[in-house]
Amino acid sequence: MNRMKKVNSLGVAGVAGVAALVLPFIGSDYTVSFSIQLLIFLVLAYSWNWIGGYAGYTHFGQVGFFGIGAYVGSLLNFHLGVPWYFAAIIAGLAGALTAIPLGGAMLRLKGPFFAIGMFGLTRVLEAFALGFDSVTGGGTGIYLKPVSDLRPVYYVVAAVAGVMLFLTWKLDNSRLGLKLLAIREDEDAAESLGIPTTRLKIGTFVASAIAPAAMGSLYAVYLGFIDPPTAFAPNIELTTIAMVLLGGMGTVLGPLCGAVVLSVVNELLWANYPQIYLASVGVIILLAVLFMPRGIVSLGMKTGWVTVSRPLFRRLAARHGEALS
Amino acid sequence: MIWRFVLAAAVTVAALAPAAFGNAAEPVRIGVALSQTGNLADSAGPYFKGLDLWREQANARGGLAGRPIEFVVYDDRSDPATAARLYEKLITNDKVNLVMSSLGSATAATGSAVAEKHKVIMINGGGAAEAIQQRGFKYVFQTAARISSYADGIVPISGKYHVKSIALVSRDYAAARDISKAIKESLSGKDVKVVIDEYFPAGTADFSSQIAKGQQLQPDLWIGLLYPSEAIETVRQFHSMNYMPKFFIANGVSQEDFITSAGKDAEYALGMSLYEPSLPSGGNKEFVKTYRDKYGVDPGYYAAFGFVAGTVLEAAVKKAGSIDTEKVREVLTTLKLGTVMGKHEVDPTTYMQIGVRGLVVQVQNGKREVIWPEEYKTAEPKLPIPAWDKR
Repeated sequence: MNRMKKVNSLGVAGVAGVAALVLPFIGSDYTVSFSIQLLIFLVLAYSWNWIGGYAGYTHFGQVGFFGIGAYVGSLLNFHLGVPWYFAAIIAGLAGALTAIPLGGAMLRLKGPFFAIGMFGLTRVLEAFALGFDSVTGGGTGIYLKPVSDLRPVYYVVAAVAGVMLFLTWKLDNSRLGLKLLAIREDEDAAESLGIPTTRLKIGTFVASAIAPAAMGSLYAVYLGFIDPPTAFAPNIELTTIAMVLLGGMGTVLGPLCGAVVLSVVNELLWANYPQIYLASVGVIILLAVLFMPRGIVSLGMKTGWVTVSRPLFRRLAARHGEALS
Repeated sequence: MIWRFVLAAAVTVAALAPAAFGNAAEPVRIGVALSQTGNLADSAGPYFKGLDLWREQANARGGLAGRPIEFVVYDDRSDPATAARLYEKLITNDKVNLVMSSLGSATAATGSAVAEKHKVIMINGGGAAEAIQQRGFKYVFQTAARISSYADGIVPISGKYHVKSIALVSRDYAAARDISKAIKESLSGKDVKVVIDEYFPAGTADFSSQIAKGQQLQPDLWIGLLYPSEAIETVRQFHSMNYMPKFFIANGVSQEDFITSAGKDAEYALGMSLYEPSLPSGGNKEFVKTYRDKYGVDPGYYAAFGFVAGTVLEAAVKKAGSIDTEKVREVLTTLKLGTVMGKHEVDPTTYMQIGVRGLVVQVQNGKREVIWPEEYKTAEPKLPIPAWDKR
């Protein structure tokens, strides 16, 4: 039974990987363009899932790191001619570096205060980008030399998405993952059990800032352009969170399901019913929150469609069983 | 409901008819990503109305190189990433012959990069930023007025009336910062001091602190980069605080709401404008009339942007004699012509718009009159602005 499951999930991963590899050769430029946007959101959703889903610190400020990355990457590329893939790595590091002091300060807040505080912080960053026009180009933004072929960008983004999925799967099966879940369920209790909550929270927060910042940099390359409203778009934040909510917070496959379902539904609705698509997306998210508050994945688990991620306690029990036998 | 059905049936028949006969010319397909939803939707609406009016009229004239014109339109949701994706779709999936930019600099910026990549001509009719053109693209031609055109009239007016000090009070939005920068650049080296330079956040309705500052520092020229509602509040509060600078100019003055809402307080205010229905430019009377007949309102500058983008394309195709991309491109690099917005001319290396100039208007007797440049003047300026008790 167990082996079957492993084979299945390996098979699914393999098929998805092969599909991702060959897509640029069989799909049109439009397909590649659409996939890049989907994958960027996928990475954002996985990052947000770490801090928001596992550690329970939901917030509206991830796009702040996305924007920082977009600007760091664009400025490096524009002024110093740093190649875009290298600029993305530095952008990711810049995201982490900013997240360390921010996490130290902001994670003292809890619940809605943290969530809204992060939102405010992002607006401050946007105002900075607008105001420091000698560096950032202000409202005009930064115009990069557009890439002539989107395929390399696609592969880099797809690789990062794969890594995020893998890391989340590792996290879900690790003690670290359990500790984060403990913080989510009851932080005081977790602390009293000897879990270093502050360190873990900040660590997760910093880890969840790296990929979004790198994605911001790649997003700017993909667009050939960045300006403050684009880099810090609240829409990117909300779409990411909607994807995680729809798929299932704190699960391995949740962000994947959410991102794919929402992107595809979005695209189909929009292409066929442009007048009502926004309202329909709203209704879908509303229904999802009302009738499957734990997301598609948990619904799938209940009905037995998804068997990859085992419920927490059964997994714990299984682990004890193995240790005893 | 029945009417709608009949209408739909009629449209379908009309659309199918040429195909049924088989030998009618294949239409020229022009792709546009348009912001039908999102924050640019209000401006993109008239832009497309202008484009569509041109299409109708051009088709009546025989279309492009003898082929009827057809638009393929998608909604870019005012999002630059969606715009990029849609131009990719228009060009690679729908195989349009050429594209028009969306309205708004960010969406035009990303869309133009896609057009350039595929070597498809884009008429940049809606992206005002200079930077769009400064990337060395070979297939993107700007017909929209540049953002800095707003500042065109400031220097001559300042020179003519010996303005020594200015106040800049603007809503904090991207275009305002760009225009403000252009104004300061054009005034640098001249004997003009900036005594107030302030941005206020969106939603501000009380300008008493700025006006108090103005009463103290007495700037000659007060420049506001404002939405119409803020321009209205500014003159109302000028009146209630019994303050009037010698010259007050704002872009919000050029919108219809300003005169209707500010009433008598609107008098004498100057407006930065890019297009006026009263502009005595070639073909403008005809444009305003047909636009009004079709849509029931006067065209604003976004409508003119759309109409001009089409006009320029039509002239280029006519001169090239075909819709062949390279031939039309060649013509567009040097094409000069008169349009409803004045002149069309592009810079020979960046293809940036240099023909269209900004206008200065003044509210006189409840109407906007063009007072600058000289060649388009519809009335004499009444300046400096008289104090409230001397009217």
